[in-house]
Amino acid sequence: MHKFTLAAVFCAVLLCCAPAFAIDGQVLINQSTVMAAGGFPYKITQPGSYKLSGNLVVPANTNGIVIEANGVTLDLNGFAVSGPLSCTGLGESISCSNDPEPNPTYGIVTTNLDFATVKNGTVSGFSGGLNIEGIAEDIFATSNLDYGISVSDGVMERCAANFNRDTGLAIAASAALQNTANFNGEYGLRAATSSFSSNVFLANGNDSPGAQILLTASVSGNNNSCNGSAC
Amino acid sequence: MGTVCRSLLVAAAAFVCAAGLVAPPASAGEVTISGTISQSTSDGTGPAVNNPSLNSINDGDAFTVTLDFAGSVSSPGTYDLTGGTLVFSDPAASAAESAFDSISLSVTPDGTSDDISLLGCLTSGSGCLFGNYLSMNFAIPSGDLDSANVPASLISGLYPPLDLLEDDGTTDIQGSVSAYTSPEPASLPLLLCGLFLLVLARVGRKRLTLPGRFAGRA
Repeated sequence: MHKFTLAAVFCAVLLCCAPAFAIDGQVLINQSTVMAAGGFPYKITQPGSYKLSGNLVVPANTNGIVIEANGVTLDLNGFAVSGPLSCTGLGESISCSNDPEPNPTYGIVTTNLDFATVKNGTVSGFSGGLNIEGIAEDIFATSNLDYGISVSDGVMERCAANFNRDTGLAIAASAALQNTANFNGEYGLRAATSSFSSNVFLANGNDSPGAQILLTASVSGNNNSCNGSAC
Repeated sequence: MGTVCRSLLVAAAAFVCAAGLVAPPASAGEVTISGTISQSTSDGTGPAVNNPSLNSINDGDAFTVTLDFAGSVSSPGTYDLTGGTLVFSDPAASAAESAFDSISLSVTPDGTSDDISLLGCLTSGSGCLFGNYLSMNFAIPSGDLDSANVPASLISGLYPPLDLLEDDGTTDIQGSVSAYTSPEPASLPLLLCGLFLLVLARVGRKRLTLPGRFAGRA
């Protein structure tokens, strides 16, 4: 009986410690680990620190990584999450193949108002490259259909979005700092109820000044550049 | 008496061969993947601690990864091959790694190819997903899952095809993949059965002049 109690306590301690370990360590993600976990979309359901250890190639009609927990930091570690869309041309002339509409796909997306930090890598080939609530840092988005990077209730910093068919960057209730958006099909930036500073927009849409940024609701900006002029 | 024995032998052989034909293609499978090391500890990764033999590996060495498992992998899907054995081997360096527990193999159709993804979790270190695994990703032509010496190719965007992470990610051995082999496991028994029946048939023909069931049929 005593041995049984000890074993039960030991098991309980192990069970309690397992999630804590996942939080402290950095979970590595690559194509093999995703496939072994059942394939795409790869769902992150526990808070913690995650890091890519290789590129991810995502098949058609599915998301790449879905973050379903608060308190997730995902470091792309310089690697790319790539979907099947490919776009050619620049500005207004961009056209893309493998359009997944009416079921849009995302390279990385948060759900259920979960807040995450995603940084340091590339997202391409989806309806939306990165669509999160939280912080996006040092993300490069290209060859996406609707937008490259979309951030709500957070911060977008040092990101770049080029050659996306519609919009490069989109923010809502957020701040955009030191980002660039060039050669996107409609707008460099769409912003609502946000602030944006020290960003650069070049040759988006029809190349006119008005095509560089589209501001709605309450938006403030300073020290931004649109086609080489202050905006 | 001799005729009866021969008849029983033929019947038994025929039964075994027939069983082999209708049974599942394999009760035990083996996959061998070969390639060349492109990153070793001499490139600055490591040094390997949990398996010091990996420190002898050099860039350019030929390696093989052998997976033995129960059952068969003959169609797309994800296979949990835990319980099988997975061995990474670099003969030139006398280096090997076989301390894997959970093993997973995925086959995904991709146009005219099958994308193959292999994950083997090491028993050493702080856990599989914390930098203690062997990971492979490559493509082979569709329909060659049960073939020998199939040329393997890179899946666009997925490099390196071989990634052996040890010591919580401190040691990172990488390589390219050149060939995939998974001979049809049931082919050898069937071949032996065929040869056996052939021999029996020849023996039967030689004894046509003898009285007995064979002679009567002839």
